[in-house]
Amino acid sequence: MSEEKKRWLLRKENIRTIWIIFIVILLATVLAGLFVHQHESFGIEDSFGFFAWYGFITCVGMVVFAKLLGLFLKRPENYYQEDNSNEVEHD
Amino acid sequence: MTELLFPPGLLLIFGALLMPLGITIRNALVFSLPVLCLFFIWSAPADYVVTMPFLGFELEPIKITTTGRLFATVFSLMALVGGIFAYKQASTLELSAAFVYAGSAIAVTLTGDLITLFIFWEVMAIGSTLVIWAARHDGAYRASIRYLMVHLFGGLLLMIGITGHIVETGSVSFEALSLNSISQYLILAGFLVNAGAPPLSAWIADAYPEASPSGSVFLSAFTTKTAVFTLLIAFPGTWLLIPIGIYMIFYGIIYALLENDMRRILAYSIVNQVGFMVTGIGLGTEMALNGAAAHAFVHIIYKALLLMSAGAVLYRTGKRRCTDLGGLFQTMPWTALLGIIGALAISSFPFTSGFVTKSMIAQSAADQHLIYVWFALAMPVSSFRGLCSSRKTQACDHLKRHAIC
Repeated sequence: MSEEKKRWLLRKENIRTIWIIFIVILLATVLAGLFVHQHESFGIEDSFGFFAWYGFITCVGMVVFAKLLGLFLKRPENYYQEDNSNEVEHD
Repeated sequence: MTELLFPPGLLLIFGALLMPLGITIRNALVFSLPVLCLFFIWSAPADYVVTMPFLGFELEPIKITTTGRLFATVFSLMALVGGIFAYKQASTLELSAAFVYAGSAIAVTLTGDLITLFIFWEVMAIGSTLVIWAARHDGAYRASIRYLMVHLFGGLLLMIGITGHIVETGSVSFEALSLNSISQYLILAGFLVNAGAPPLSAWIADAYPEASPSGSVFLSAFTTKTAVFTLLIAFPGTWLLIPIGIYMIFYGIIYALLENDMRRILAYSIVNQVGFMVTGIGLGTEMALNGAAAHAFVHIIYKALLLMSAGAVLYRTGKRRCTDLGGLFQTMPWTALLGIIGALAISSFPFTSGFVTKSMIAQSAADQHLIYVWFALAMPVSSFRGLCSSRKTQACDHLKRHAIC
């Protein structure tokens, strides 16, 4: 498909712009912490960029934990599906 | 109009039974009944009670409370919005079943005694099972039987608990209960089964994705949130609910991460979101309880939006695995855009509804100096939901690959 026919979200130059906008928003939320009073009361949440690093680290932690758990629990997608009902048909 | 003759929920249930009479009648009922129900709910005066003697007990089939009215309102809205989403392609069986299901959920939220509550609790199980059946394929049939077994079991726990409670106290009143004998624990267990609490959390992700595209929209709204309502009335401030809620939050996230079926991911995330509400109820302060109720209200709305966008994708493409989808912004830009709005709300993005309600619950934990609870609540709120949800919008497949896969 040519670039002109693609919708705005899928065009290469727009994807770049969207990434830049997202990164700016992320930086703004970190910098906003300097000016906004936090309501929590444990001390640590007042440290610079707390929600950014806490969010990132716990996010990575949960993905790693899920993947490790998956090694034991995960089954192939058609494990229970001898009846092949995975694709629902509609009329 | 200030006199209610019968529970507003019954309006939907009786209306549903008339739906098979013809397609025109059916469509007229789908659009008019929820509006009429909303009118009844809001025209009744506050603290309005209707009593009825039954086997020596004083039943309260209608009792309008603030919390009950909040839940009944969002349930009626969902019957209307779900009906609009469904009426073009859903079968009459599905729509009738969905309205019986919605009507009994509304009846539960507007009742003042445990006997009426139990009756509508069971009607809800039948209605929801029929909604799953209406998908008419083998997988749906088998999932619905497993689903029914879980709910009959939950109903049984509830019935034993209620009977024991009535024998011990002589009261059928549905109000805050203290956990001082096994009967109250059984009532709590009965409610928790419907909330998707451990060890029976898997039924949600097992059954909901097997329903039709519109069926899963109805399913996501009523059962778990009715359970949240009953916990909110009967067991506010029960500390046991805090660890249960936190387990549900992490169960939902971890399993959603491993899942590939788009509607199953959303079903796991119901467990996750209900976990926030259950934790809030366990915290028990005024703000926590208001936060839990508000979160239930907004969650019903944005989860319905997400399931509608996933349902639209399933309807158009016939595919349900995330790895088979992608780049749909090209052909379904409105669905993608609305899905992204839903994903932002579920991720508690600032200026969305989820941002306000989840913050209320997390802040209540901080106010009580429950540091571990606050850290546990902040963990999924902080960043992860955004990444997880982007996978569901089917729009940003490039984001998906970068983020998770």
